[in-house]
Amino acid sequence: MSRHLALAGAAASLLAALSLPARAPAAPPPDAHALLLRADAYRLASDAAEVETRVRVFKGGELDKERIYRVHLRPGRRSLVVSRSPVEKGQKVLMLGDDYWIVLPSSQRPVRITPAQKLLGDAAAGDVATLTWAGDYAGEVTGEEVVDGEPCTRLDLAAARRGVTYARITLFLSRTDAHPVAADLFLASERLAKRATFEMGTLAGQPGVVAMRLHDEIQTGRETRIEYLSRRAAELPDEYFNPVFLTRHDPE
Amino acid sequence: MTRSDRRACRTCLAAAILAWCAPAAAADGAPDWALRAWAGPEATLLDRRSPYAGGADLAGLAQEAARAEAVLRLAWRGAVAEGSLRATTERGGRTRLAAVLTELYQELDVTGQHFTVGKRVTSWDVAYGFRPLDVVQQERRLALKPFALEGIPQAAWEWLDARWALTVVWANPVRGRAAQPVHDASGAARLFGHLGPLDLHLVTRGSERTGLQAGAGAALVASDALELHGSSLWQERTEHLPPPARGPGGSPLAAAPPGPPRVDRDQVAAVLGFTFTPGHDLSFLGEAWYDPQGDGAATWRARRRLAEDQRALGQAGLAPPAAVDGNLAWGLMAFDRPSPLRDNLLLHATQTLGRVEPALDLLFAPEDRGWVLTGSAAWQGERLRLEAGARVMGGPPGAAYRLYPGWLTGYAAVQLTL
Repeated sequence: MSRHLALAGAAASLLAALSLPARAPAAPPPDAHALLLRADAYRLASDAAEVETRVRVFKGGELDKERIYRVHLRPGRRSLVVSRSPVEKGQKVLMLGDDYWIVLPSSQRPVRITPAQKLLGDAAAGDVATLTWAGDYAGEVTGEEVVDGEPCTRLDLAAARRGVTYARITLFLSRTDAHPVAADLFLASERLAKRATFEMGTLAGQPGVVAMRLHDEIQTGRETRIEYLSRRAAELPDEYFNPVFLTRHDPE
Repeated sequence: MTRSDRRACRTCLAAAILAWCAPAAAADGAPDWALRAWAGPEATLLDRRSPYAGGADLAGLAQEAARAEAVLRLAWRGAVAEGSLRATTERGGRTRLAAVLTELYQELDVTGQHFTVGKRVTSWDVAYGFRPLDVVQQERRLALKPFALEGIPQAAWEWLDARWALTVVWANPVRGRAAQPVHDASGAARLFGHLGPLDLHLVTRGSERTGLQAGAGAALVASDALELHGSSLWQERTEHLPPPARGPGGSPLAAAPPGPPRVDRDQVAAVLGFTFTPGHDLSFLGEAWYDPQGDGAATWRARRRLAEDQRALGQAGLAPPAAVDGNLAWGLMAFDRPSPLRDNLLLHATQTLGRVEPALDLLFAPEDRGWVLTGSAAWQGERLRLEAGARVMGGPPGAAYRLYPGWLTGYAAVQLTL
């Protein structure tokens, strides 16, 4: 089952990254928390949405894997990730806050999984997407740097709740509008695991993060690119966020 | 297509007509489909020292040389159909083909109520190696590369809110008591609740054969890496394979197959387990269970003595070989149960190494210290999957698993998914 968990977990992790931006604030932030809220708004929708996501894993510059996921987002940290790729077709991962289930088409029962199981395998490449910086981390502004030619504010973040994969994040936000530019993701061992860079663009008529690139600092030569193919405002009915319902129904 | 499949077809035809007329059906969309096909060789080595070896041919052990399956699944507007075409090639070259309609059902959402009519897979337990709460599906677990599960004909109603779900199932409607318990008509219900880190399952079932059954299960996320689960089922009546019996005058040979099952009352089955994910893409599963339908070590010692006596008669030329082999084949039925022994321990370990996933599991019977060790490895591509594995049984002399003549089974398979 760990293979299924790995694949579905990967999809699940990526989801939050694909959410769409709310707005692009202009005034300089008064403090770290306010800055994080503004940065989150470029990645995460505050309203219900359906997002089509493509995840591509590269090894040595060559495409190794490609997965398509449809992600249904609801306010209150509720999300449902449905796999659309042939190898994982029919798999669903439900996330209600810190509670996770996987539904495999072969078993037709909701399987309760731990945060660590959700992150098995490739999931660790994209798990950064499931978190909100303002909600899951506490941080402080620690300086300014130029990253890829962009003047940035540097923040050091420490995990504020259980279940997040990265114990510490160094986040670089644009000094102009607080959009995310890059992030260094550290494990609890203080080892740098991944470096994330964010591509800005327009999705559903709003400025926001349209793609995220995760460079693996442990498995060298490995990179994951997460693209948000489409997004529309759509609210999946409440029953789809009950794990039992998912064993008998697929969202259209 | 079997008789039950034809019955399911008739049931679903009516349901499908209803569904297409129902305004509450899902939104229009293109039909969704998936195809999975696999094929590969399989071989079992016989231990001729086993007292049951003479019955292996009649029982069909070590006959299979290769198996293949193609599973096509179609879904549209709440209607789902899944069919499996299976082929088994025996060592002599004979190939058996079977077409099984594994699922055919229609979902109906009418005025906020959820209904399912048709044949579908229905799994309710929280465990893996032993699943007492699967009172509707009742499938065998721990099989090597099994064919797709076959669903149960049913009519189901479901009520849900954000935290709870109540499912009521009428399984195998109007069939009454069938030849096999899984095909019996029965009524069953399951209440599921999501209480923070705890999932709670309450299950009940009633049928003419088993009377009332009632059970509970739970899965608890204890930490970021540890999940605990357990379930237990009380059964008013339980069918049990009859104990080994000798013929008139203590003769080891019987002239007829074992009699009807023994019925025990007020039996309880239970399983406790965990999954642990310590990092490094490693995952462990551990379970301990008690299955009252298995036998104790003393019963297995009696089975062993009977099989040895039967074999000795044949070797001494005191009984026709056909009679001896037939009795030994009947004796092998004792292995054809979810748990040949009552007490069981299972440890399963896997690691994901990129596209490769090796796995190892050990099933141990504390009562007689017999064991079953299974190792496998799989490579998963974008559409292609390659896997191979082997299972070996052993233990001290006299252990049940040591008595099984098919002591080593190996398989390989290539699978394509479209």
